[in-house]
Amino acid sequence: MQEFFKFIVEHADKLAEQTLTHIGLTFLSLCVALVIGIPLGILISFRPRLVGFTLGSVGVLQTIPSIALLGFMIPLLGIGPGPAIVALFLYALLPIVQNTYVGIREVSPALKEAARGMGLTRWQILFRLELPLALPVIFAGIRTATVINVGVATLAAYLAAGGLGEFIFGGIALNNTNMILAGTIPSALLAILFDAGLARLQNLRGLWRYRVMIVFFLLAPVLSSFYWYPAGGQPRLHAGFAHEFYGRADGYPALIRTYDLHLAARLIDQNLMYEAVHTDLVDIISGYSTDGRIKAFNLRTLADDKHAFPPYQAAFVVREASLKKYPELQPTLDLLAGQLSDSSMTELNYQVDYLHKSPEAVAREFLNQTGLLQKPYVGKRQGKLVVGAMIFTEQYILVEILRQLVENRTALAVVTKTGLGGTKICFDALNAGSIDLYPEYTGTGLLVILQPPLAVSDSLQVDTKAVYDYVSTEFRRQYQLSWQKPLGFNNTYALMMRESQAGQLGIRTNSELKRYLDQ
Amino acid sequence: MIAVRQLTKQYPTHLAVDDVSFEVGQRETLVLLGTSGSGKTTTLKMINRLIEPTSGTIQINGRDSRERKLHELRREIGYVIQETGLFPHYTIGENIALVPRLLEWDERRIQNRIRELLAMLRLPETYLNVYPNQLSGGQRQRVGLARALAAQPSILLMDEPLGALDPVTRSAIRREFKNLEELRQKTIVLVTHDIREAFELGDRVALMDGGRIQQIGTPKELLLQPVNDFVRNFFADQWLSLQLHVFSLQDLAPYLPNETAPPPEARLFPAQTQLADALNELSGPEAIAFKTGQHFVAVQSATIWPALGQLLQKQTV
Repeated sequence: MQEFFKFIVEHADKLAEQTLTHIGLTFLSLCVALVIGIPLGILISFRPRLVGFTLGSVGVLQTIPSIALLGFMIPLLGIGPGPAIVALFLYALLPIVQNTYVGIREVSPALKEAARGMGLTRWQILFRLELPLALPVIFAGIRTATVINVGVATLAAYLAAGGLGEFIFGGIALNNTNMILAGTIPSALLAILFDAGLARLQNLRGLWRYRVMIVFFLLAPVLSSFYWYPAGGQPRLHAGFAHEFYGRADGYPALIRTYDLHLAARLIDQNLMYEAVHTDLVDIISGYSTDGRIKAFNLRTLADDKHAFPPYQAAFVVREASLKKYPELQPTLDLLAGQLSDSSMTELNYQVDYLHKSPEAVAREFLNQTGLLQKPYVGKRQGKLVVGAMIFTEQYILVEILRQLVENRTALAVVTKTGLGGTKICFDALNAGSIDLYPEYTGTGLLVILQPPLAVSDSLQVDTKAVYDYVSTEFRRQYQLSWQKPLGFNNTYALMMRESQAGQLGIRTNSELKRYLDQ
Repeated sequence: MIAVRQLTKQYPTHLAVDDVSFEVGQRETLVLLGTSGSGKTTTLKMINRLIEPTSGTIQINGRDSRERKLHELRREIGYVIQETGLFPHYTIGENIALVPRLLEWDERRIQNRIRELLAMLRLPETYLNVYPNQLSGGQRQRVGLARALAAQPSILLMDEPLGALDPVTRSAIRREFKNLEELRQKTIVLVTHDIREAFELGDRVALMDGGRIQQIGTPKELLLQPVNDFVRNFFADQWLSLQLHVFSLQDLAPYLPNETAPPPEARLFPAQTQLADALNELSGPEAIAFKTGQHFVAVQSATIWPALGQLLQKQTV
């Protein structure tokens, strides 16, 4: 509990910003839904023939699971606030259209006829009789739509549109309960607040009801404008960070510590982050230095000149027991040492992610180029090596390279277990003996598995070799696991910008970025 | 003045109104009487074009109603319906002011007119700012009438105006409406299924059945000279009490003693007073009198019944 409050206090600025963005998103989409939904409801009350079709189609939209609706938005409209608002708007539409129509239809026909009989025109009947009498029903719809939208708006963070969902998604990604709660509790409070407020409005009687409801219609656009409020002084460059980067001590906090670099950052799903910088939604992202999209989207990786980010050298981690059991394994693994530079790993990732080649084909091509393959082993397979991999492209490629190489040079049969959730799962599987080896990164081994006292990790931080030595010693001592020689590349965090913009602004390093922002 | 000629309304499933013609003169009240489904309400609604006729013409004050703009035509015709049709979200004042505001009267004129109507219908001014659901049925009905009269239309259409009220309130309001000077100045078409209401309020009554007018005439004509069995049977149940509405004090004169001087302590009534009203007055202890020619006739509760017996006996024969 105390930790939760500590989190809230530490992230008060970000939380306030997210809350305002959240309210803005909710009301912005609500306003669009009002502007389109109420006239649509009126239209179908005029033209009963359109009722079935209209309510049917709007109703179908409502049945699409919200996360799927947002998912559909990405190929259709891309990411950013626009698609998020469209999705939220589609969600808010049904209660508003339906209640407008029902509210108008439920006005007594005798009253409408009396009004006609007294010489009110069709429009006068609408504005003086039908809409005022339908208002409480319409308001019930607005209330439903608002509460739905407060909830669904948490998913907007998935489309890089901000809001309280940033902490929820981030918390899930980092398995950080306090972070999840910091997003969940305010959004639940918002929902309760709006629900109770609108309910009171709905229960007002007489003249006050109309006055206050009119005020609400004027207030809704004002609340919508909250969306832009956090942007405030319009930062010169917009940043979009992966949740993990934002939350991990070796991510954004390290950047602040080392460079004093403060960025108004939006939290984005790490798979959409590259898309976001590519489509100008943001200018800076927290990428991984070997991602294939760096090449695909022509991004510039800013050099970490003051070494804020710890090294993440990739290497296979193997059970010592397996090395003993299969003595031919060690020399084969040694062959891969230093074979992959940052750029060659990026290239391989690019071929799989963007040219849609299979990891198998990419691995074979790579092995052919490096000349590591011999005349293949053709005898009977003896012994079984189980190789694990986490659930991302680079790991698939690495285990494929390993599989082909081992099967080419030894009698071992290689079984791959890909798609393991993350470091913790791979490590536990390795420790338990379910797998014999998997590709790991030194920084992760240090911070996620070993979790040394702060003094130790601080002293190691910048030094690539020191980190490798430390994890390799400790893994052997504590777990009887052996770190193989580094593969060569360093898949660490790196700030990235569009090549064109970075070139124009003359930014190559994090320090230059800092200098540019301070100008 | 309303002139209806060969009015017909054909619905896909049935003929609602079949070749109906009638005229309503200035300051005349015509009652369209009939059971439900007789076509009376359809006929009424064709007058202000809430329903468009299949064929036939309607002239309002000498002009074909189809030449008029719909809402302008309707604003000139007062319209009162069952359950009043008051806007529930408007105060009494706003309800009454509805048509004058549509006609863009200036606000002072509207306020004066509202106060005039409230006084006329004996509604306290404190009601101006209350909502219809805070009033009783009878009060709402009076407000409904006030709203229809607000813009001083020369023509008033009333569709079962008292239909939603209990019998006691109903006859009280009916009597009240009947005695309103302003209503007497109007050309009125009133739809009802209540025979007594028709006889009390109508100068003439058109009895409708199956979309056709079976007979049109004064209540007396309908009661005493029915043109067919339908008309005769229609009134058969209430034949005796209806006569109290068609006969006046004048008709009793032959059966009562005449005097040359007005009887002392008796209130003087017009000779045209309907017997039903006269009987109502006689429920108290005092006597009433009326003047016929040079003579005065005193009527007392003791003498009226034998005289009435003689009159009615003559009618039956």
